[in-house]
Amino acid sequence: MISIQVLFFASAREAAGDISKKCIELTPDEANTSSLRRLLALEYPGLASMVKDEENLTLALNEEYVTRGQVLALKDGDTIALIPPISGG
Amino acid sequence: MNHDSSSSFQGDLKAEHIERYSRQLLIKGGFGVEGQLKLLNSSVLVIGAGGIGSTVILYLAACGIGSLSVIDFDDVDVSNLHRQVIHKTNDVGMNKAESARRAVENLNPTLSCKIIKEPLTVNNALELISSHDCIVDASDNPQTRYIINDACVLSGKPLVSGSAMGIEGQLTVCNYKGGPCYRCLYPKPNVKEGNKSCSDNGVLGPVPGLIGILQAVETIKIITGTDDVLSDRLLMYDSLQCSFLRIKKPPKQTHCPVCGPEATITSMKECFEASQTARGPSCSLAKSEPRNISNSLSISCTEYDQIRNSGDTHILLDVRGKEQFDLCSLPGAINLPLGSITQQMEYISTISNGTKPVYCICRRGNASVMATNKIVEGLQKYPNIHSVKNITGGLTSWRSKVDKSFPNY
Ligand SMILES: [Zn+2]
Repeated sequence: MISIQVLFFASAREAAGDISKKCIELTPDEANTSSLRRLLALEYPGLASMVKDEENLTLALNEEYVTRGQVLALKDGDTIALIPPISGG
Repeated sequence: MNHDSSSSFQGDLKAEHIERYSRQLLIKGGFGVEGQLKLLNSSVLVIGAGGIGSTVILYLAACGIGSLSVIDFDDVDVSNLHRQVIHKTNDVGMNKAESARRAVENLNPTLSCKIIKEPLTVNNALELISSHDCIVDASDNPQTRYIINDACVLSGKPLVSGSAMGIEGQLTVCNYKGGPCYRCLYPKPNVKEGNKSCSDNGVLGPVPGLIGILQAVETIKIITGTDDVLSDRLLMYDSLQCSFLRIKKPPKQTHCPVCGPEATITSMKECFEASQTARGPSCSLAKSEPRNISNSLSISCTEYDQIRNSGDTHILLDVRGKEQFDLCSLPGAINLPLGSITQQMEYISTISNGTKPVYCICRRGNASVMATNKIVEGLQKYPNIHSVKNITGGLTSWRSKVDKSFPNY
């Protein structure tokens, strides 16, 4: 098992039930950004519609955007940020 | 470079400029006289004179942007004042761009401030944006943000984008020296964000103010040609944790519909077509259309007032979020937020107990329609729910038709 930190921002935070960070354990099979999206959708139903759609919710791995269409491997200690747009002003 | 010749500045700094701007002229390794002249010769368009606009406009005016334009169609409301600090209590009811211009003229009468008291639309965006050197997005809704981005790409203008909601803010520069645009970053409006507005979700006053100040800094850097403009990163600010996260952005996307090599948005008309899917509420345009419900399931505020006055026993379900319910509610109301209705059918059935009619209320009468419909769907399964009706127009209507002293928020 590896353990990664997930940071929730803006509407992703609200959709997950006002959680700002969460430590998530992944099996070696699940240690990639695509499986993580699936797991987050299962764990937080309110977040499912957003997190399953790459165009709707961008991930950043260790403070760098994950390009759409790209599946990146995750290793122990990685940080994933969920970044939806904010529109208010 | 300047769109307004009356304000264009020629030659060297005058004594009044040296006096006014001396503290920024003296910054060690700063932009100096040359940079100040660039500021005086530049034109900046700020879209939105709200929370973010308040500070970005003031700082751009103070630092000597020669020609500053502000566009906002909305009027100042008393609920804006906790964050939109460019407006004062006496300005309530005045157009925001007009109020901003008065503040700018008081602060720095040496510059030219032009205002447009209209919304920014696909019809006026390109002309306005292409006639300025740098564009500041301080708008409050996703649709406007895409219009601004597309017009900036089409006219090759740098875009300083800032936003704030709740306790968080974001800042980045788009379309700068071949860098990615807003659509590269956010190809489509967020499903959840699309349903949010400041009036429903609240915003911590200083958060948009800080984002606006940071936008002013980036604007000065762009105009004076300073290195390291925040174009390759997105800054995310979380005020409660006081954390600033700088996320490395992807490069310009080859598949981007507006800035990519095979762009499908090549005119504002195409931007309009694309934006039809990007509709979200504006903080000030949140007058959503009433949801459908049959007349037999509706009751007006005045009718409901009569029921209250006659002392008929009933259940009043207030389906707003807890934050709003805590702010103000009608005596005796039970708070069951819309999202919890489905799980709370058993409870509703228990308290209705086959005898008490249920009335649903919310802020404007939209969520309560959805709640009423949800309860109606469950009536067969829960026959102990006596009956259910929606109170038309919600607490907004209650305030205007029944009780003027009920808070407006
Ligand atoms: Zn783009």
